[in-house]
Amino acid sequence: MNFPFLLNSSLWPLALIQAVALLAVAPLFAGFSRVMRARMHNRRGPGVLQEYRDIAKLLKRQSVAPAASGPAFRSMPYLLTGGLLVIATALPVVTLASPMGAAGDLITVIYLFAVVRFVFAIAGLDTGSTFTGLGASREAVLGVLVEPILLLGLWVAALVAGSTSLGAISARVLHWPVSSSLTLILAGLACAFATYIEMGKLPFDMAEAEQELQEGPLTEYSGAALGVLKIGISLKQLVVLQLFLGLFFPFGMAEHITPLALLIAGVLSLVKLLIAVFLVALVENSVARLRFLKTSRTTWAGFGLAFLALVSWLVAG
Amino acid sequence: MMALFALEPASLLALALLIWLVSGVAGGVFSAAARLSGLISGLGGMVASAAVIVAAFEIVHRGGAVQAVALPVLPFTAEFSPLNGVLLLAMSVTALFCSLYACAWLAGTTSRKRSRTGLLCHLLMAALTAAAVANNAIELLVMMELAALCAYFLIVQTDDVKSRRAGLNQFLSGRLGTVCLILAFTVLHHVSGSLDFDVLRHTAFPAGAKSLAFLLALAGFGLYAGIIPLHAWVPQSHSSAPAHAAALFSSVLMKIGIIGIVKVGLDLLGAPPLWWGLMVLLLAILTAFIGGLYALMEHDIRRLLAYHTLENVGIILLGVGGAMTGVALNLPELAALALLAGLFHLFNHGLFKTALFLGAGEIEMQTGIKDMEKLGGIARLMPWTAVAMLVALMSMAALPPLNGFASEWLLYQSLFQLSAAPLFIARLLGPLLAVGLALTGALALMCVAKVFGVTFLGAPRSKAAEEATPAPLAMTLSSVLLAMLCIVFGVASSWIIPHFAAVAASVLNAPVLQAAQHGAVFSATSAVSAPMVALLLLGMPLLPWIIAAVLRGARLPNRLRGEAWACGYGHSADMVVTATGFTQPLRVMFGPLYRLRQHVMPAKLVSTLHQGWLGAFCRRLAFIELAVLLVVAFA
Repeated sequence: MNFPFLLNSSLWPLALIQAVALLAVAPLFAGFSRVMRARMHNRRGPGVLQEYRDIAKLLKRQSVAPAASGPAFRSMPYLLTGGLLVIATALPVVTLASPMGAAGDLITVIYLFAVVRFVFAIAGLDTGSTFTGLGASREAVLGVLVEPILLLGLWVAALVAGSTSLGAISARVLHWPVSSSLTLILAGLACAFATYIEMGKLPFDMAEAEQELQEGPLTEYSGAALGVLKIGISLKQLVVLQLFLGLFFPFGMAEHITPLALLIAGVLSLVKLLIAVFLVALVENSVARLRFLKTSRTTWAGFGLAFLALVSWLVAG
Repeated sequence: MMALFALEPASLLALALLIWLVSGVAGGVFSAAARLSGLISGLGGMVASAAVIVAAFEIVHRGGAVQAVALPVLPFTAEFSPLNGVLLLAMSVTALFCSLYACAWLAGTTSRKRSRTGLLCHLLMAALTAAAVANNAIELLVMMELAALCAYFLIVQTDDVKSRRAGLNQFLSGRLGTVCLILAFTVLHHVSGSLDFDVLRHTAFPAGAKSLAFLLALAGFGLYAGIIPLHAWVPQSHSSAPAHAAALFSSVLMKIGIIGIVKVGLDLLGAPPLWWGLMVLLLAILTAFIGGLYALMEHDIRRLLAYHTLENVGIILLGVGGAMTGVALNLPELAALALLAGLFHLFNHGLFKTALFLGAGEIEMQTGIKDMEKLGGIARLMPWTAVAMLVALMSMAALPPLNGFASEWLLYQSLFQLSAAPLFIARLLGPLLAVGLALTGALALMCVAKVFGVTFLGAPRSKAAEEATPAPLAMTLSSVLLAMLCIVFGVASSWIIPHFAAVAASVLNAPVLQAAQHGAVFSATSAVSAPMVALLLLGMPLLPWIIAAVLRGARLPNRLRGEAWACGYGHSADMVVTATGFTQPLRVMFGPLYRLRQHVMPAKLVSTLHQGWLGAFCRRLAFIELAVLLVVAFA
């Protein structure tokens, strides 16, 4: 097999552009989500651009941190956002192939998410605060619960595609193989479940649980650091969502690079993200948070879906 | 004697063995002079290890078929093959840095400990080096037995209840392992009439004898490698022995067990039937998962690391089992990729685990504490140790672009090929094993976050932790250099993997698998470029930093002040989340699996076993056996 996509010289500028673009629109989607919530509460709420205003204000403020905190705490917002940007370069967003083939592999992406989780968790332990420590612990536990669902779902999709590279899976789903319909649908549902948990929304907003943990690992952040962290967390939601959409809803993405195809794909990807965020907001505002120690019972459902996908693949293949 | 000065692998090995023995004894003789004795032992160990590294490079580089070579001066015939070469390399790189660490450690301990530890460690390394290149079963068994006894005496050296128990466990399981191996080779001898590996390799065994011998050998080598449920001796023994000896157990002694399984399963007995491969795969995932799970609940850093060694033994065996399955299913590409992944991970594990044990040893030496609950805030006091441990921990959790990721990525790819194999059982097991590995990875991630967060970050939790000072240069250097190697073997993995691929091909008698090109590592189904990922991971955090820096302008600088927020109450040190608190949710969620330990090993049985007389009896037995074996080895 040949790997022309690995260091694809024509696509790497696109990789950087899409990472920066996702970073730029991340607060917009967070704002949209806020507006949705206000509407569902029958409130007017602030406008869509409020997140930008918040972040701009925070970025101009001084950061104050507890005396016990060190470099791990201070560098986390940048490392978190940077790690997510690396993933963002590798996602299929407007092109079917991953623009950064060097990292556009299933296993690599899952372990890059692990890097992000690791810096998030150790920053939580670096302050000596109870809330940040518990938030870090919950973040790590949620990782243990989600990882099997996400991996099995994506693995089955990769088996249908015959490759673990993201581009190959997208391309296979685009040319939908009818005989594997059930398998792909079940795998997609399992991944949707895992994606939803990874987005940290209710009923799974464990690490940052607003009422009981006061935003968990974010508790001690303030000023510019908090501003960067806010961008980073909304970027995380967008990246996780785009990973799912890029793999399971590749419709309209550019197979051949022409300006028109890229334009259509760009607009379509925004529309897809908007619809997804809308659906997520609907779910988020109609449920109550789970009790943390009982979460594992709920996540079994997701794993069950992924396992059914595997069974259907075994039967079909 | 002149032959020693020719730089042939054989003479280098003989030289190394002699240096180990001589410098070990000399270090003991001068044990009254602390610095001198430490220097003799440490430098001797380093020179010997360096000699073995050079020899191992030549053996791997030479490649090709297995050769029997008589060592000069010593009455020992060695077998040189690329597989032995890789094992020698993995062992001696570890030993090199352990010796560097020992230079400083030996100088700082009591004279009695100095003479014993120095000699025993050197004897252990010499015996294991000889075992790695043994060309018949008797040599292999005598040397492994010798090494296991050295390990026993290293464990019982700290004379407390825990160490005595650990020593007894190790002694009993070691002897049981030897008995299994003797039986295994008796079966083979019965059929072939010989114990030479070369004869065994060319004998066609009947299926029954073959399987019986394999099962016995798997149990025997499994006891050395610590496959769960044969791991009873592992955790506490790593905590009782001195840190560099624990590193040697983990990256050298247990590796002999794994290579033994590779040798018996893939090399000596001919093509393995499918069920061998599947059995090894299942044992491997069990070992990896349970090892990772139990590591989470440990507070003693070294016991925790020992459980992680079990986890990694499982991961390596996933590669070995995958290779056996690949051979059985006649899928050469799967076999080559899986064995490549297993061998590469074996090597990588030696690097990061040794760095971790040595780092833990530094902390213990500077604070006198093994329990991480009482540490905290060490990163500011021992910055270099902290950085080295951080890199090694991240590498243990397989985070890109470090070396643990490079080998696990290959392993995932081989599991993917297993999932796509035509046989139903392989198609079922492949995805489930991958899920098991991912789950283990997530547990490992949580565990390393715990170790680093609780030990190195936050505020100190005890007086001793507050007063820690950086460790002596030689010690710090040993773990820092290993951490650097972890980075090199991860980022430059695409240039290193072809060498391991050649070794895997020589074991399997197959064409060399092309798995790396132009800075990228690939399998038939995907690819990753570690240098590129490293570059992105270094570059991308700059973007948010620049945004923040541009918008900030001339505002007030960042400020560190006061205590953490505690809902308006005064903050006190005992509010801080401990290692126990951090992992509490998993203790609840995986409760049944944690209770398993009590059900499987009833406390009553254990306490009967550990009544005084048995321990004392075994100690005498060990003395006698060690003396007899030394005489046998030199005769």
